[in-house]
Amino acid sequence: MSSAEAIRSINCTSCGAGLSVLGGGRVAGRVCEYCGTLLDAQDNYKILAEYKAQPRPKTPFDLGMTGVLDGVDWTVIGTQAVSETYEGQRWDWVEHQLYSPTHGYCWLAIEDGHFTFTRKVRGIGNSGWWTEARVNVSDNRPTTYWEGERFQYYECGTRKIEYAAGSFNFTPRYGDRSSYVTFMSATHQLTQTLNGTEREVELTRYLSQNDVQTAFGLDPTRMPDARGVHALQQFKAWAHGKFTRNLGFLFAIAAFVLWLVMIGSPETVIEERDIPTTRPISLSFDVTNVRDLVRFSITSNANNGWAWYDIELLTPDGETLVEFGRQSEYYFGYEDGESWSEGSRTATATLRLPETGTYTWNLIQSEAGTWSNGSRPNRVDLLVEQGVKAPFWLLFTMIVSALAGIVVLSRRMFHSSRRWSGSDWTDEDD
Amino acid sequence: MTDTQTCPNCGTPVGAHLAFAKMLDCESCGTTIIRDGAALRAAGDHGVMLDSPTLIEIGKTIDIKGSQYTPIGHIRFDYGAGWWDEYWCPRSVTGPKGVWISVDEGDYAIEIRVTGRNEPKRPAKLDLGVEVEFDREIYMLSETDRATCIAFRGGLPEEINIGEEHTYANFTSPTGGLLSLETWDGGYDWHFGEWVDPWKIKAVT
Repeated sequence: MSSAEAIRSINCTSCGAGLSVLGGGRVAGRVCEYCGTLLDAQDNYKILAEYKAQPRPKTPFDLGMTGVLDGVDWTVIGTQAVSETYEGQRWDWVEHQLYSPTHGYCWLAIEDGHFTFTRKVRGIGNSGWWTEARVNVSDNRPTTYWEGERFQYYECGTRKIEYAAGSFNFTPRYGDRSSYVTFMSATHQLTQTLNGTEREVELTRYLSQNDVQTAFGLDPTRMPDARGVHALQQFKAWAHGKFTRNLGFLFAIAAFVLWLVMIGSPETVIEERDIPTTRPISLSFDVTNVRDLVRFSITSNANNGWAWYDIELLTPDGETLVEFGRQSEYYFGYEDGESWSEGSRTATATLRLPETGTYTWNLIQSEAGTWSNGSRPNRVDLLVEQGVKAPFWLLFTMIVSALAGIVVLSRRMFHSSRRWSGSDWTDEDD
Repeated sequence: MTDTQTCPNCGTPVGAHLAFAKMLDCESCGTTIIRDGAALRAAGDHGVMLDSPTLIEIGKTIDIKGSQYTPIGHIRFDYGAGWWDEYWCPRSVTGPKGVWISVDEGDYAIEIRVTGRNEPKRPAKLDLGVEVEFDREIYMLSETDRATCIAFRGGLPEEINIGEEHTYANFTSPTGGLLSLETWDGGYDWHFGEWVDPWKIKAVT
């Protein structure tokens, strides 16, 4: 707690601007937001360093703002811009130091429009202190347990202070660098930071924009747009995602079981083989099952040739039930060292017949042709089967239902994959 | 000694905490009362204790990782730029040993007094990095400063005077253990303890 809390403002000892006294008695550095001078908060605000005033980073927070997070009262006492550069790529983010009389000093960071809350913790994790060098010689992704929670290595690097304004429980000097190694669990990041000789361990969790905005009463027009998925961002399940997933898989299994039940061998009503097609063919047969479908199959002896068949089906009363055509064609060859074939010698038609009785199937080969050195089809095998099921809709239901379940399931996996996509760990086996 | 003893200054009955305290302040007149054998004597003022948000208050039981503590005494030390607080939770409430809980802007530590043969050897100088051995572990001095007692409330296990200057030194072990040394004119105390996460301090209702 600060004895200076009664003093609400001081004048910058460099530029004379009025500065709010923020934070408690452990505030070490106060950076003037007007002239950029670093003042010693523990020694009458004497000048420690003078920096050229930098433009303020974009943030919805102002110094002195207050809010309640986790039931704790916080005041925004400092703002710093931090960067990291690796292999020509640069990342920038903003951190605000928060102060609570009961819970001390914490950080609220904004990166790519995502908010995180970081606090100092005691205990470094059961696998000890990690450095980039130690990570580099590790055969497997490093793991550590902290308070019973399992954390896996996420990334390491060196961060640099680019801008500072306000009060801090340390003395933030522009260009100061600190190295860190970060581990991540399902909900938190555990970061071991080395700043000079000072070691700190910090625990970070994700805050939703809505929570932050509500907690600090932020201006909605100043809220940043969140880009991508943050490593700590929790999966947001659809309202009925679990139900949809379970129902989808249940329907798929039910449809599959029904399909297995339905697909039995159909019963052959009549089968005639090797019938010449030089003349019209007429075939009579008895149908006893009209509850299921009846399938008509024509298999020609096409070899690099095709034939068109005009078909007429007569009812037991001798009336024309249906007239239609079917084509049988089959081509094959050898090209560029590979054999190929296309088409099918067999053409089918599946019909639902109105009544049992003796039907007549009339068939005429009306046209035929050849390709290359093929032969003109001149004979057919005819087959009529009854008791044919139509499993299409069951298969359709099975696929659609399974897809619904897979989509729900894959969203979570995809989210997890995106969370870890920023990790700099590469398995050599990958 | 009974609960019916009264303040030597104003005659107000003093609380049952006197059974666990060497010293306490009168809630009515603020007089510091010292227990001297079976007698009580007045010993001045109890200082000004400015109100501030806190997780710990005299008489209110808290839970830290499954153990319950009820502070009966509170001392405030001023270190210039701020202050920190120490709360005394006596053995009769907490169990086998009385503990001190120190609070400094979100840093909470729970400590027990180290006495007799267990005491580490006092270093000649309190320079940062100085090492001491305790319980077969090496502790390194990580922080030291001077502070002045500016106020106290409730009952305390030892005498302390308003304005008394204490030098404190915090030693930490590689495993995070905490050892602290407080020295003042005419005395010193070693305490051993551990840091407490403020998020794990729960009020017991």
